[in-house]
Amino acid sequence: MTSLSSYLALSTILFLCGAFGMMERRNLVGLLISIELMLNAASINFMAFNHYLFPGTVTGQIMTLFVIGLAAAEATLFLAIVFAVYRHYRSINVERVDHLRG
Amino acid sequence: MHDFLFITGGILALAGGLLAVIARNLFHAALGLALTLTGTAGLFIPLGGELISVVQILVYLGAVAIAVIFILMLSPPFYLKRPHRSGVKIALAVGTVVIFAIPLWRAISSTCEVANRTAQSPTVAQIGRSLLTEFVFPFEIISVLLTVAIIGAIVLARDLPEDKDIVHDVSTSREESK
Repeated sequence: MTSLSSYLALSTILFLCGAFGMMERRNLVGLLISIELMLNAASINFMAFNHYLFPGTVTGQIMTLFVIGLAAAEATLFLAIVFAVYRHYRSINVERVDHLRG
Repeated sequence: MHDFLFITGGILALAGGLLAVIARNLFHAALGLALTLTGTAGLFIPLGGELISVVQILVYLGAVAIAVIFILMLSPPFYLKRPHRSGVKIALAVGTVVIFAIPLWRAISSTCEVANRTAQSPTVAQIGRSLLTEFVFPFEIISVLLTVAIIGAIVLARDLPEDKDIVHDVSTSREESK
């Protein structure tokens, strides 16, 4: 039942959910949620490859730890940016945040 | 036991992922993300990552809880009618998903299947030792990154009265120069 490709299929579906959300959401917090989904799919891949292809090593697990740390840092900054954007535009819809448009 | 964890975690993760992108209400989407993260933490256990599973729940779910508070502050009241999604955006998003999906499925189906090895899952001591010897440089970099993120978040989210003064000074000095 559990094999490498079942984990890969699961993480692919999660990644595609995140990609769908990235394209469809127009809300900054919704985009953050989609990014977290995609990062999560990536960490499932790291863990699965580590377990099935390189058993007994820890490289994939450490990569997953780094992904979790990076996601935490990114969420912090993202929420701060959302807060600043909301104060400036009174909205967190990405289509209204267009002052830097070329 | 491992099959059970895989099926349960997988169903939780998929249901949460679908809820996170389909839910119209952002609050429900954040709860769906929390469900996905919990399911993923369950998936890490049969992969020999008990420590990672605990870290996932401690760090990631904590971050999501904070995000939920932000969503409650920033979203309009729940009794207001949510705007409908436009069909064009959904069609474009589905197209993007299909474009991503085809090569990914091909890559998965061409992955050589490996027998489920019963190797010892790495211990916490092994992870810690490797983190402080082999991976000490990225480890230190990530601590610097977290510090920078904290300081940056404070700077970004702070109300900036002195900036308004600067803008005011510039505008008055322009008027004076005229």
